[in-house]
Amino acid sequence: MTQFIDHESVDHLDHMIKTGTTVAQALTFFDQLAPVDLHRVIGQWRCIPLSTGHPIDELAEPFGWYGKLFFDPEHVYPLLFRYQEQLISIDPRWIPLSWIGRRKLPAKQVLAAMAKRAQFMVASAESHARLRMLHHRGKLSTSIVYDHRPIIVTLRQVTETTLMGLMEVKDVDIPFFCMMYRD
Amino acid sequence: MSNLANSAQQLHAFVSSGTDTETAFALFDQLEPVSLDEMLGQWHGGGLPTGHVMDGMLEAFGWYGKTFTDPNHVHPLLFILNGKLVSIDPKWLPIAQVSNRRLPAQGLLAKLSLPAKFALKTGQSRAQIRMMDYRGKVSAVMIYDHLPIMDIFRKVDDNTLLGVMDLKGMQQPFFFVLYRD
Repeated sequence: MTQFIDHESVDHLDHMIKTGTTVAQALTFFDQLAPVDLHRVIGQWRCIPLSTGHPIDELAEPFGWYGKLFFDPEHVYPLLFRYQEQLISIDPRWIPLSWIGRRKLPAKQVLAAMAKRAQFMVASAESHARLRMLHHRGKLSTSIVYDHRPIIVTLRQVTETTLMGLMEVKDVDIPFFCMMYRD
Repeated sequence: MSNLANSAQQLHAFVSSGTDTETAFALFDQLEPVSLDEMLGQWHGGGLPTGHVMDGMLEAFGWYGKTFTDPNHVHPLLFILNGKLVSIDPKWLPIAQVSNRRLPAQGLLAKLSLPAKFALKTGQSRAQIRMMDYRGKVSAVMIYDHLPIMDIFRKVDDNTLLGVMDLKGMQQPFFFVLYRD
């Protein structure tokens, strides 16, 4: 397998994933990664937030967020959730943007209960984003552009089967990070 | 005749007498990319007719142009209302409904004039600009915040841009021109 980063960086990444990190450190790591071409990301990916100490990083687990599916550049499912042994796609418009950037969120149990209900209502076959090659932070790389949200996720290559995503929401000054593993 | 003057002349002919998608793309493809810095400022615009369902739509509706305040804050729909320029929230325009339907022109315009009467002035920006690879060149693209629309720009000259609107699900792209104010 082609290794796009050296062993030291792999160790550093493992450590960040285990213990969490800061936004600055995550950005430094992200910036050294190679760009990834649009046609190399097609497929299904399991996603795990890289925690930078923000409450939103803790949401993925109780909500049952699984990952992302890139069917083709025009049809992207950015929010695949586990539901009753199945993966379903959620419309991102149902996740309140006002939560992003907030320092305090409702209790995890409340969120989990809400998520269960939400999944009934919002599962849809429609795709909710597209893939494009955008120039960002000095490199031209695959980006996920949401259809109905001012959200752009920039992807970079860690290994052949691992990507790192940098999620930026318009007018929210903290970025979010996730690690993506090919299924 | 220089390439630049040639492109400008071609564009002018297309705007006044219309063309087809293929010919419009032939012009678009030979134009230079435009940078984010070059996009900043206020522009007035107009459609480039290519036999598209949206031909004449923005003009009929009183669209003025776009303002690019900074890369994260773009007002894609400036309209003149009561003699004033106002920024309209794109969600009030049924652009997204155009994609898969062939509405009769009259019916479409009647539908369009309805939201104008109730148009909401919005202080908030409704789009962002980024540099994107499209048809072999990296150039400025305007990405709407709440609609699956990207407008990709190329430079005719310093004060004239050719834009192509890529709406998710719409087979035929829509061309338009921006002129710097």
